[in-house]
Amino acid sequence: MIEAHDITVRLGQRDTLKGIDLVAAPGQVTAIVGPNGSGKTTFLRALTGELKAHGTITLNGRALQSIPVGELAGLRAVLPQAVRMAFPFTVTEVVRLGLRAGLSAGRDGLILQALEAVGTVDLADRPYPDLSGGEQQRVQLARVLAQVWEPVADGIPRWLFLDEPVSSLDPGHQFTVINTVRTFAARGGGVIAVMHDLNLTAIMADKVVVLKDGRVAAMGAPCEVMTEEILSDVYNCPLRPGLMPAGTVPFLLPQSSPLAM
Amino acid sequence: MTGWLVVALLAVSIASLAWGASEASVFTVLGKLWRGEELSAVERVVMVNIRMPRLFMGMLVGAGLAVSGAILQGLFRNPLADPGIVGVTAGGSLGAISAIVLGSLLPAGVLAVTSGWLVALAAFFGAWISTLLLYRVATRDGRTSVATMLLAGIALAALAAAISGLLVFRASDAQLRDLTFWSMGSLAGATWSRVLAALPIVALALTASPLLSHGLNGIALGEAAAMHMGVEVQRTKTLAILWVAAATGLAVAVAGGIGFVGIVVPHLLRLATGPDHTPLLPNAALLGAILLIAADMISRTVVAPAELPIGIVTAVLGAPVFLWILLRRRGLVGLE
Ligand SMILES: Nc1ncnc2c1ncn2[C@@H]1O[C@H](COP(=O)(O)OP(=O)(O)OP(=O)(O)O)[C@@H](O)[C@H]1O
Ligand SMILES: [Mg+2]
Repeated sequence: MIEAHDITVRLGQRDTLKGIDLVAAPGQVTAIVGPNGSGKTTFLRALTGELKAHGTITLNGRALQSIPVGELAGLRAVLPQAVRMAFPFTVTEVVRLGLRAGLSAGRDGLILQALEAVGTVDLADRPYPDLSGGEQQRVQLARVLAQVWEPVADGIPRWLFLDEPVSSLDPGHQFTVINTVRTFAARGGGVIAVMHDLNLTAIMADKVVVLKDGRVAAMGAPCEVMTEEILSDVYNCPLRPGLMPAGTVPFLLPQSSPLAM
Repeated sequence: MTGWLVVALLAVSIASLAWGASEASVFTVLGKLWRGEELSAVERVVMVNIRMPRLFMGMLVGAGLAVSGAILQGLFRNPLADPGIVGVTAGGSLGAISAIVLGSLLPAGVLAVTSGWLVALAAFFGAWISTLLLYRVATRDGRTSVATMLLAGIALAALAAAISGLLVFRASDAQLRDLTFWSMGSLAGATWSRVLAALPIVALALTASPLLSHGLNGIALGEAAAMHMGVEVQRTKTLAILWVAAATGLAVAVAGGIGFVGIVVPHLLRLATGPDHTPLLPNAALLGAILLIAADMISRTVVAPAELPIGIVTAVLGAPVFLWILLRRRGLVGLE
């Protein structure tokens, strides 16, 4: 369980986050959505302990600050929005770095399995800096997966923090990654993912947190949160949800604006 | 790779012991020992008191410079970083120059105690103090900013160079000759007592090395990612800076300015075995030692019985390799 209470973060001259509460359960995918600059990345960085925040954050019942970084690396892995590497590590080496940081260190067979989970085995021997943006994103995801390969270790759930994990992937790889993430949660791990694509969010998430201007504008299951009133207001454009044929998963199409009609 | 480097180091060490201005060669000496014959006085002095300490000092300096380069490049996330760049070498040089020019002003008692050691000590302290200063300037709230550190290093190097220039200006002719020779570096001053004095530093450095490899690998992904992967980022940086100050201070102290080892060795190794610091740091120590011993052999035989400053040899060998790397691999060093 991750419990964050009254999280406030000041960056530069202004409060970027203004008192956010969140409870995320293991076994679920929790998505954070919201407009550019609403504070999604900042919130994720606060939750991982990367940014100093006011308020309290607990991970699996322990205060986040009290967990040494070495132990934390075995409990959770973090995918940043973009990663530039300093040296020409190969794809395999990048994933091995993640593997070494976690509890499965030494099980080198997992490197290929992690690459397979994101549909990237064919790149194993390529130098990382030569890859395309989407390919790099998949490799970083494989690194993060290798770090917390078992979703539950000794009865303790492990966590994935993902900042826009599918934003630059093609639909095929988006599908693969979403499946991998859902499987991780289904096997008992916890996932917190920042997302932009609302339709993919609706498929992937069990719970959606909508941020606007550093505050929580709405929180709940996708079908509760993804309503015309909430989304049109948050994103400042007309958005009307429809329902997939099965009737439970909402999908959204931007409506033409009043001016154009 | 490591195995081959060890073999090469052994080979070049034996060659270095065998090869020199005097007739004494490691083969005649070993042959005599094998047959139980007495060594001549000349052979004993040349082997045991001149070539051996010189060999070990060459190993220490070469390994120290090469690993310092690899560590700084990892810390700055830039394959062009070098001990020279952060002002450590300049600080050490300022210390040595002060000792050469101003040493005679010290009280006679102090001079008596430090005789023969004064330049070495001053260079070591100069390197150490400049690193501490740099660290004070570049570190806020326990965090080191790499950009500030690089810029501060440039400023410190300029300041040290300016003061050094002033000192050189008021040096006597005899002092100028000492200065010129020192500034180009030579292992000729190596003695057993100096090698032994350097051993504690080497022992500490060896213990810190695995910790540094893990930390620098994480930092290659960025400081935040390193933290998420369990790296104590701040501790890694502190350790790296101390390592570099100690090794560079030692190198400047015993051998003056020796360039290019710190930049060429890690580059070549990354081409051969990739950028992972776990093999890179020990391999850099080996290859650095090999290169410096080879350079020293060249420096003392090419114009025998005189000696060429070793800095000239490393520059002649290293600068073209460095340029070649820049030409072939511009993308690697962020020039594209
Ligand atoms: N270091 C900083 N100093 C000052 N302001 C910052 C800093 N980092 C972020 N901000 C501001 O905080 C706000 C939230 O940024 P954040 O990166 O969390 O947005 P986001 O929701 O992730 O946006 P995006 O969808 O574009 O990724 C932005 O207005 C940004 O300008
Ligand atoms: Mg963001």
